[in-house]
Amino acid sequence: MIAWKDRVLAAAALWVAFSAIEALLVGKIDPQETPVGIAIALLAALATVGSLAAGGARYAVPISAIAQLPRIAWSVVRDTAIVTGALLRALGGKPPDDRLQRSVRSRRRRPGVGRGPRAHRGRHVGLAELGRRRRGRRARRPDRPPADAMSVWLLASAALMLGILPCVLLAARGNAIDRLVALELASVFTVLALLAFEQGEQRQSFFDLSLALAVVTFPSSLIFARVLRRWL
Amino acid sequence: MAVSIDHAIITVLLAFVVLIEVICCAGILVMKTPLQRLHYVGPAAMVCPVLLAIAIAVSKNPLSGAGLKAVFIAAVMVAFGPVLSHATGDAAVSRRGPGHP
Repeated sequence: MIAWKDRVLAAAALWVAFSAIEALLVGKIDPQETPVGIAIALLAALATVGSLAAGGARYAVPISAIAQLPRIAWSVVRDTAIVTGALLRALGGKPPDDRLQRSVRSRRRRPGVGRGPRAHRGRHVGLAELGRRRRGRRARRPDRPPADAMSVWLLASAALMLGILPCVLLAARGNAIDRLVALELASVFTVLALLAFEQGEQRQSFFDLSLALAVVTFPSSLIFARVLRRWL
Repeated sequence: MAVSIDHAIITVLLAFVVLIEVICCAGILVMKTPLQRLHYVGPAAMVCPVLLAIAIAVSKNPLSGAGLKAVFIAAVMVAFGPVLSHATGDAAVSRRGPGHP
């Protein structure tokens, strides 16, 4: 059992480390962004220590698990295909089985989707004066996407926000575990929607908001799960 | 209209993010038990942040502040997503018993 004094010391050390990382990410000491970063670093440190305290040794991750990262990544991709197949079978009225992966594998590559005409590579529109000017502006400002790219980000953000509605529906109709599942999924969608919105609005300081939400979501959901398991 | 290759990549990545979101939303509504629904949290929590971080890294300089923060957010969600799913599944099994999915 770790003493509270050690936990406070660990939180303080993490706070200093996260603040340094935040300052390095910003790249400068800004009177507006630096205090926000330090506050988020405090939240992250408290969330990390609180999660370790709530999770205990059950969720301790050994260092050797880092070597398994490629396998984990492949498992994530494979499981995504499996649950997609299960959903398609369920929508078709068929019972789920173990051969779902084969039915989804053929859907993974769809050549041509999202790709525009080959003229965008610059070979066939080289004489267009307007195109040259536009490319010249983009070359001088590489960090700023064109206006139509921003609309794509905002559209994705709106779509991700709409994904919260099914979560609300499930939370209203389901039992306690269903509500927790809905909360976790809604939290993920909120973080992603904020991230896309911030990118669409080109406000770098907004990234701190989704960063703080992503960090705080984990201990809150974990505590909900632990409370449901123990006391409810 | 000339479309840059970066814009095409970003559009495809965001389309995949929205597609996975639709799949997950439909999954939690169609599936019957909490453990089945829990399977649809994983793709949204682990694949979507990675795709979104890649899209932001393509849009901006990956070593910029926003790019690094997006990568950090994706890393946090990828690292914590399985733990949350396991804890939630553990709670579901504990409440209903292992013989009742």
